[in-house]
Amino acid sequence: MTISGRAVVLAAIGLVPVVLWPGWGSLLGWAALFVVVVLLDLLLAGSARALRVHREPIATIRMGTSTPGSFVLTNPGRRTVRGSLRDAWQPSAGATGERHRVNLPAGQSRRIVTTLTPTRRGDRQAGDVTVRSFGPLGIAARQYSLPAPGRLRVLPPFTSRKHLPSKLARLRELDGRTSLRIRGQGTEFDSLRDYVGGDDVRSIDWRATARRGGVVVRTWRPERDRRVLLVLDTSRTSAARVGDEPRLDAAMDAALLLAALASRAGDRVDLLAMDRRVRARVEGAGRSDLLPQLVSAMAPVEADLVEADWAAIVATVLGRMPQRALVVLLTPLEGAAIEEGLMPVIARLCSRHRVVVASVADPQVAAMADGRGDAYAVYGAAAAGRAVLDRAATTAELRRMGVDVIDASPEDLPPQLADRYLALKAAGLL
Amino acid sequence: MSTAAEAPTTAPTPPSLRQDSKEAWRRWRWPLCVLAVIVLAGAVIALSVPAGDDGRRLSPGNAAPEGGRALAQVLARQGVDVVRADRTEEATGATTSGSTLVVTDTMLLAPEQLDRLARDDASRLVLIEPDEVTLNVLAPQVRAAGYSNHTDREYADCSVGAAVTAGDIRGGGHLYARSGGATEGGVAVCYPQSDSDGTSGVDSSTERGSYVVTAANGRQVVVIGQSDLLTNEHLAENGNAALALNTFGAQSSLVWYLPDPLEVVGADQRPVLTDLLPSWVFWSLVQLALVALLAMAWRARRFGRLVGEPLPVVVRAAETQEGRARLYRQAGARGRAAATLRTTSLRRLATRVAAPGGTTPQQLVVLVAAATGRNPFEVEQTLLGPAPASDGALVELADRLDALERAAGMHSTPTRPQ
Repeated sequence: MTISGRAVVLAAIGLVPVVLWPGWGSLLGWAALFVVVVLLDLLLAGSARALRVHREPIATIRMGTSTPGSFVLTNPGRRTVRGSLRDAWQPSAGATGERHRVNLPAGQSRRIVTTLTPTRRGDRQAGDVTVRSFGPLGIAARQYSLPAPGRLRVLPPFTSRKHLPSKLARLRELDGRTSLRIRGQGTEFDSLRDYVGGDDVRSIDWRATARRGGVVVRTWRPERDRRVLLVLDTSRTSAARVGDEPRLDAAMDAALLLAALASRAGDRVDLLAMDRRVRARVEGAGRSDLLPQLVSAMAPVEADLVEADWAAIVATVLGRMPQRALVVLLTPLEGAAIEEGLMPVIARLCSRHRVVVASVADPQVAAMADGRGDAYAVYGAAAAGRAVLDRAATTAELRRMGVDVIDASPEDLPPQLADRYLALKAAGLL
Repeated sequence: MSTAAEAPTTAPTPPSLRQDSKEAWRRWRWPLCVLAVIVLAGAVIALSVPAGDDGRRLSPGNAAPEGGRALAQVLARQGVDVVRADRTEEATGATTSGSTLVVTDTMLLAPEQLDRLARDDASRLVLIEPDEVTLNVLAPQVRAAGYSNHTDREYADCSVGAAVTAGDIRGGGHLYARSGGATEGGVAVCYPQSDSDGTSGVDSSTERGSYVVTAANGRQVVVIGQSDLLTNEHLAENGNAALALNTFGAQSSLVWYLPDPLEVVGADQRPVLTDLLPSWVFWSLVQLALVALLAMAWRARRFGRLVGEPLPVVVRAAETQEGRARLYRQAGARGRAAATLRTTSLRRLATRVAAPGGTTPQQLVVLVAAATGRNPFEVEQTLLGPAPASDGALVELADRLDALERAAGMHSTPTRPQ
């Protein structure tokens, strides 16, 4: 049970008889009256315990947008339930106006809507629905928390999708192009067309020219139906915060842009999120539902404070990808973790696949490296310089093994990774 | 590789523990010193100031010339139990039917205290220089009769045993006489002072003296008008000591009452705040307290339980670098910091001057000097010179490296502030 402000006012009115007739009599008399009124109000209140809550499923939304979260409240009791209720959500679900007034006659139902504006990615959980059912006087209420489990899936924001149009335009430029530059073994024959001035004479198809009577050139299109595997490292090094978000979120952003691009280019994209065990996996998704599958698989994944088991990751990748593929490792270039975990096993991966390591760099380190002016700033610059040198050494070692390395800030990483993909595609190196 | 290289700069565990205790000592040094000084000063003051020496005139513990310690000590040596009292309750509580009660500074006594003293069961009462109000209550047969500055020797001139035995004493002081309704037999006036020298026609009713013995409230009352004779300074003169000892030590128990001017009189009878307030105030306060409790219950009741939020890691990625920077600074690792700064500069300069792979630093110095047109020795000092000797030199080195890079590239990196 609980009481309202009216109960306090009722008790305060008791000052009048106490002042007029001081003594135990008026004090206890008023107290008795108060107790009787409160008990009467409680008895006449509708039962909160008997209410039924049915939470309706909530559509998955992308972070940064709002959605109504609703449930149906049914009163199977014999009395009207009057009062207030609270629809509890985790703070990061961003429930505004989670308290509602309720006036539910017996045998009726109401839909109650709480607007949710989540502030974090992942699954946001709902708590109980707590009902306060006041009596006719509004002095005392029965309070009961009805268990109402619910979940709102919040997808990664995919802020880098603004880069998608320009990258798709670049992809179209690759399409239908004569092999003006390189004719890699991966590019595929597309069609024949008439020669126009400027075409590479080496691409003239002499047999077709002879048949046709005019000069005909072959055109090429980028290879299709290649396989791309995105590997998200969800270990401790991905948990560190860069700017306002964990590194993992920036890596997801880059992975989504690459996946969107690659699926338009006709490649098949798979996802593997792993530290010591597989945290999420998307395989064999069709072109149309690839992105939805990816974001919903990524949504609940959080970085875990464990060391990545690179041997297991490499074994998983090799087991799932028998044929050649582009393997993108989205992992921070942290000296020790890479040296001791990835280096010993990456050769096995490189022998079968094309490997790209994409790392989220911290712009703050670059800012520190430029620190000048006083001793503290210069020591900071030296420490940041040390980190930059370490990363450079790691990068050099990876490149020596034939691994492409991209190390960029959260904003620059998605477009740079997309550019690298396009470059590989243009070169037919997939 | 970086962790292995950094290992020597981080201190092993035992020195850091010692540093912890050193740090704690440095933090608590001053508070501990101040505390020690306070304790020491308090102890010295407590030891140097003897207890009980309150400096009051005629106090049994006061060894000053106007104190009464000599008299109290002589009395104690003669077997008299001297009890000092500061409050009326103490005085009346300490007296029995076989004790003498001495009261000094009677002008400090309130009427209530005088009434209490009048009801006291001491069989002898000694009043030192009492005023009129006190006499009215404690010795109504005696009245105050002026003051005399003649401190010459006086003769007893009465039949009181103590005065006769003592003989000559220090005279003068407050003078007392029989009051109007008193009989001659009830009041004995000793050491009389005549109004005029040599005249014998003094009326008995105007006889004034500084030592008066009478009876009141069923006990003997002695009024001493000249308190000087009791002091440490004058006790040994003439018959002062004999008179004082006979007056004070007539009984085995002596209660020496020095009224305290700060004593609150009749605290139990004075009305307190609750007596002055109307009774409904108390009851409404009780009611208000109940209302306050209800208001707390109203506001404190939680609307359903909280929903926990699994928080992500909040460690910033750059924290490692910041920690390393602090370690460098704490350890004064100028050599290491300078080497790192030079290496990063060399790497950038190598790209600027388009040095081929495998160029040694010495060769790079020559290339850079050629590209910038600077003195090769100066360039070598900047890029490969000795470690800076101070933090200031390190800052200066960083600026020189920047200037060199700017000169080599003709334009600086966009992120660098000019």
